[in-house]
Amino acid sequence: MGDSFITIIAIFLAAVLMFVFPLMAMADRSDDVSTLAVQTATTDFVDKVRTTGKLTIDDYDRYVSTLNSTGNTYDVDIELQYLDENPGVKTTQTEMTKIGENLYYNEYTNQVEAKLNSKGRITLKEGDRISVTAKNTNQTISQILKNFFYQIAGNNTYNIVAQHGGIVTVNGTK
Amino acid sequence: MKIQYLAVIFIIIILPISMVISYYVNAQIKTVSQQELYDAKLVTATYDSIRSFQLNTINSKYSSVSDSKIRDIEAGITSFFNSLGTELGATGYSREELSDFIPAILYSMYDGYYIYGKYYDASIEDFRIGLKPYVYYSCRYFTGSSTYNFVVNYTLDNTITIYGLVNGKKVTTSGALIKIGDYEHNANSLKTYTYITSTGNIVSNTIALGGNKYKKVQIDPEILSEKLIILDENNNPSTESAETYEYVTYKDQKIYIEKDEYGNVARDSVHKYYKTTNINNAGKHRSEVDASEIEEYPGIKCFFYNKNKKQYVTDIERIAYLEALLGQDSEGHTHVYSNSACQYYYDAYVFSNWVNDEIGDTIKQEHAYEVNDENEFKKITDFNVKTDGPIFNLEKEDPTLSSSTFNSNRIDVIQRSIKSNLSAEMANFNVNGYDYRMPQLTDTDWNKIVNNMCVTTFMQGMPIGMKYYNNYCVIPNDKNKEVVTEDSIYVLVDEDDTMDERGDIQAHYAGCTDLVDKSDKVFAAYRNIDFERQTVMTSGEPRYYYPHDDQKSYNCMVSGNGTYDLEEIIEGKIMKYSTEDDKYIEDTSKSSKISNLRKIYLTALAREKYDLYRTNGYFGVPVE
Repeated sequence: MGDSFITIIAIFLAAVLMFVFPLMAMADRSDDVSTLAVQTATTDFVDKVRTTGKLTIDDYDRYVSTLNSTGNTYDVDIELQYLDENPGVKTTQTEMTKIGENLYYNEYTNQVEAKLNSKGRITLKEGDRISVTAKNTNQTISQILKNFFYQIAGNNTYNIVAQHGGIVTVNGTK
Repeated sequence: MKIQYLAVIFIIIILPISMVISYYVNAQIKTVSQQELYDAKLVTATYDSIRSFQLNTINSKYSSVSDSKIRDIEAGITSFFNSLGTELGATGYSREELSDFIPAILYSMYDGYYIYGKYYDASIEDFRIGLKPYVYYSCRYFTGSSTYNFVVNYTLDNTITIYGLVNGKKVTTSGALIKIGDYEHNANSLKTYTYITSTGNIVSNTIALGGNKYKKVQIDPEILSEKLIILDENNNPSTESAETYEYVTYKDQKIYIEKDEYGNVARDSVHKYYKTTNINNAGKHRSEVDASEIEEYPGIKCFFYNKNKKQYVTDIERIAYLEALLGQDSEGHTHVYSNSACQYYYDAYVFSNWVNDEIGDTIKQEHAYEVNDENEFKKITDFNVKTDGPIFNLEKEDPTLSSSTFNSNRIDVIQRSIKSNLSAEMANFNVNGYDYRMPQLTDTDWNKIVNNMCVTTFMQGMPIGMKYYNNYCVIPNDKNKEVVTEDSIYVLVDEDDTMDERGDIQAHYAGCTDLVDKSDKVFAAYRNIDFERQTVMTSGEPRYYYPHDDQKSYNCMVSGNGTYDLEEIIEGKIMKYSTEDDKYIEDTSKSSKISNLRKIYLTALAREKYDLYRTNGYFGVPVE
């Protein structure tokens, strides 16, 4: 009786060791590679916008399809901050000793996508800022396996995340 | 065998494999992450270099003089290394160590480029790192005989310099190229004026005024104005806020005009100037001419803006030039009108005619040669885009269009020159045993370099995990005093026609989609750098002002709504996509509304190009 109990435990342990742990390790590696691919795509996309001053619908679609080619689904958040120098100019105009402060107007993902769909591109200028974040929305194999052992629940359960941003260095009017 | 033993054997086999794969993947991930980090830092450091160059040149009155330019470039390079060193300092690299990984920095300017890199200094008989001599974007054309053997220096726009043998004669000349048919010359537009020098010689000069047409738009003289802060002798601002002054540019210097209490041009009651009423007296001495033909006139009160103070102009040549530009507006006030735009198109017309007559049908891409150290001529055959037709045929082609043979050859010459010099520079940069090579630049990046002033930085040889870092960054400098590009002109719109200084005047991009409906309200246009903040150092605190402080339009300039292509505005044809014809066709309802916008824009573009400081004084057709 005791022997068969130990045998069952041994088989169970063997199964876990032989299948589950390597699978979990490989799934984690696969997630790491996906994170890398997503981070590279995000960095390339943001740097292209920064150095050309233009955000075109072609570039955006290409970025999203690169993300999807990793086999997961992603939530992309874009934040554009437009530099408005007019308040700064007005302050300096009335008070020669002051450098007025500039303002930034924010535009978020939905507005950016609407603009891209209607006009095909967004023209940025030097001094504007862009920030892009991509998080996965599906459950990767690694997450499923981890869920099996310990519950992972809640909204912020993303495994793969990439974030990049910066200041736009050139006017995109040409 | 017990199953536990099998399990253990399995683990003994799989665990090391798993560990090795895991280590390898992690190392690859770290390498790529490190690469991205360095890419982002390289872009930031390059941008800091550009910003430093922009700030130095915008606030400097002498930034176009070559020594000043070299100083500003070296300051930009220092900014680059400081920025990169600060950002990579956490990873352990100091500035001195970093210079081993930067084989070259390219500063491409209006008519040539500087390379910062390693060169052999004969005075110390060793290699040193610094700014190499300026290289022009030049190409030699040779037809096989001594009839045509000349060099063309190209620039970032349609201006060229030709020197050498043309049609058997030795020439040195510069000018802008336009399509001959685009210019309609009006003989009445030329005005000849005279002045008598301090030694009594009577000199005459001919200038171009209004009445000529370019691309069917009449180009007229215009009134230019901007704000200044003037300091008194104690270095304090003489007024509470910056004041508006009208100005005219003559020989690359701005001359500001003083006005009297009635709003007319103020006269100088102290100095006296003389001219002759009979043009035929030009070339003679005052003593040879009848006294009745000599006329005295009071000079115009005007000044240079030198070290933020007024430096009154009493130079006879300049005063005579300003006198010739006097005119009256519709309310009867006198102004000095700027004829730079009219002069630009007239000079371009004369120069283009000369180029077309002398080399228009003859010179083709197949005549491009390079000369090696032994003075041997070798034909250039490795152009990117092969063109068959004549390069300088200005009757058939418009050289200002991006699709012309001239433009295609210009781009090729610039690319070839930069590629060959950079490749040689990097191959010589042999540090740490790493094989430095020039990377292949993308078409987007070449497009930036050939159309605007750019800074290109290369970073190679840094060990990052499993490989060596190798990347570059090209960033154009949009706000500079080097080159006037089509998109550097901002157009001013008076929303309610009152010319009220506060609030109603807005600055727009020339291609702004709103402007089609507001074209009639466009009244002036200026360069983008005139909208940047200037600093004046006083005896107390620094003072800030904007030469043009008009509000920037929220439609095109602040938020990122698109603009029409500037070539469409220049040609006067706004295009729209027709789904019925499945191609782009002219939107005649919009094209017909933009005539005033085109006039102001084309005038401003020509005026800014003409007023740009030139380092070589050979403008004009060679005198026979």
